[in-house]
Amino acid sequence: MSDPLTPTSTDHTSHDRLLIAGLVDRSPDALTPDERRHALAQVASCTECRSLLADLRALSSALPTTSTPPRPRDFSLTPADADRLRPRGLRWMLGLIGTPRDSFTRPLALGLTTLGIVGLLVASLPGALGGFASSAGGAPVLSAVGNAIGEAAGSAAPAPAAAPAASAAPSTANDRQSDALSAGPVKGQASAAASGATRGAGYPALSVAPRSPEDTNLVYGADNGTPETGGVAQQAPASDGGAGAPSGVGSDLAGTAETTGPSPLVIVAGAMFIAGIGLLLARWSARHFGNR
Amino acid sequence: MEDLRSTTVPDDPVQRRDLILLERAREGDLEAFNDLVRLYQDQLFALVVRMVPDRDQASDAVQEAFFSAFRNLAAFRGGSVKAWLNRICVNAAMDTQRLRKRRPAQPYPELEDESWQPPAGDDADPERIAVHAERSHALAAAMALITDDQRTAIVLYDVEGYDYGEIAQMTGVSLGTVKSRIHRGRLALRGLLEDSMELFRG
Repeated sequence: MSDPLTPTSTDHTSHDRLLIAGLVDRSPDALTPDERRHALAQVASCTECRSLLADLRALSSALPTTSTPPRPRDFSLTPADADRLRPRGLRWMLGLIGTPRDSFTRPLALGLTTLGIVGLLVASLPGALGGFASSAGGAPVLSAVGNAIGEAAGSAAPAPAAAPAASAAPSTANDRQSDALSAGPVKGQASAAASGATRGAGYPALSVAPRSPEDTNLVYGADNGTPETGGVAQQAPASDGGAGAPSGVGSDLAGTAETTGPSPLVIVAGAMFIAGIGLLLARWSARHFGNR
Repeated sequence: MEDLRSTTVPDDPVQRRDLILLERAREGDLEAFNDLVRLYQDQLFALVVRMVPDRDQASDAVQEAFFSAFRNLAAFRGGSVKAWLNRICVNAAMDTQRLRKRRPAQPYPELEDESWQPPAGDDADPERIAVHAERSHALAAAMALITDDQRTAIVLYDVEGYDYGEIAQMTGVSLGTVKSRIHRGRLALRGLLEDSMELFRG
């Protein structure tokens, strides 16, 4: 059986001239072993193929040695050119992205993207944490979170002071949590008391001022229980924190979640994800097109 | 991973000199950048004028390439400054080729220009110089007649010494297309120069 790659015709016009051109290349990848064998067989059997190969080699080696027209002008930049071309403002900042000097955008972009994805995943999960994503189910869960914050406050403050915050949101979660933590008739107070009893002082972030007509503000900051006024926290009612009174952090969060539209977690996570992806894209384009 | 090429000191004194100049240019020293221009403008013009067979258009392309290099100094990622400038010039030349398709120009109107001849040294043989000039003119005229893609591939492979992969990356085509352009371009050149092949033999 004859080799199909071996030329059987001595007619030069039937020979594959592209294979001959491939023999000129310095790269061993120019032709496959079969193609190379076929080309060499053509050269061995055909005078014109041999002549073609010699001519192609001569041209290929002549190319780098041929002279070119002289350079018509000097290409140095003038100071005016430099002023016009020097990147400024946003273009300068974008120009720095992805350069070897830029050591912070990559971890920042990756961090933002990861946090964004995690946040979106958490928001989309059904169940306890997923309550954030659902506007219908968001309020109870947020209320519970608010209560937890209120409890934390209670741990560093006199027990009665935490009552408004702890019992603020009129939600089932609140009730459940309060029921679980307290046995007293005033759930908020009991909850705060239980929290204070079980955890002790140790939550420095939030403190609640003692309840009195003039000291009814929830104050972020000091953890020593010292009454502070004029803080940034919400106004708490002077009453004993009856159900439904909008007070404290918990009720604020619940109130936010009760609004229609995506939850704050989705918005924040989405923004982080978009910012991270945008930064990664900016880096990629800077690296890809920067050397042009 | 951080690109470390820029932080490693090259052994090659030429590369080290180029990196020093480039770093100074980055810091705002225009004269350092112009030193780089003066060092490489002849080589880069020779590269571009082989790809763009019109001296004025090639000249504009090289100038635009240096503008682009200056604008993108911050984007230099280490390695060889010459290779970086080469790449910018190849891109500028390909942009010019695309423009030429819309505005064709007369290829090498100055083919008879004596300045094409290489400078004569003390031991220069006038006959050899004449043959060299004739060969250069013939080859340049033939190169101007093959397609832009084939010319680019041949110049990058045979003259500049890039490999298939690098050319594929620079021109945005597949490896097989690069090979095909080189091989077909060579055959086209040989066809165009059939009557003057004696200049190249022996």
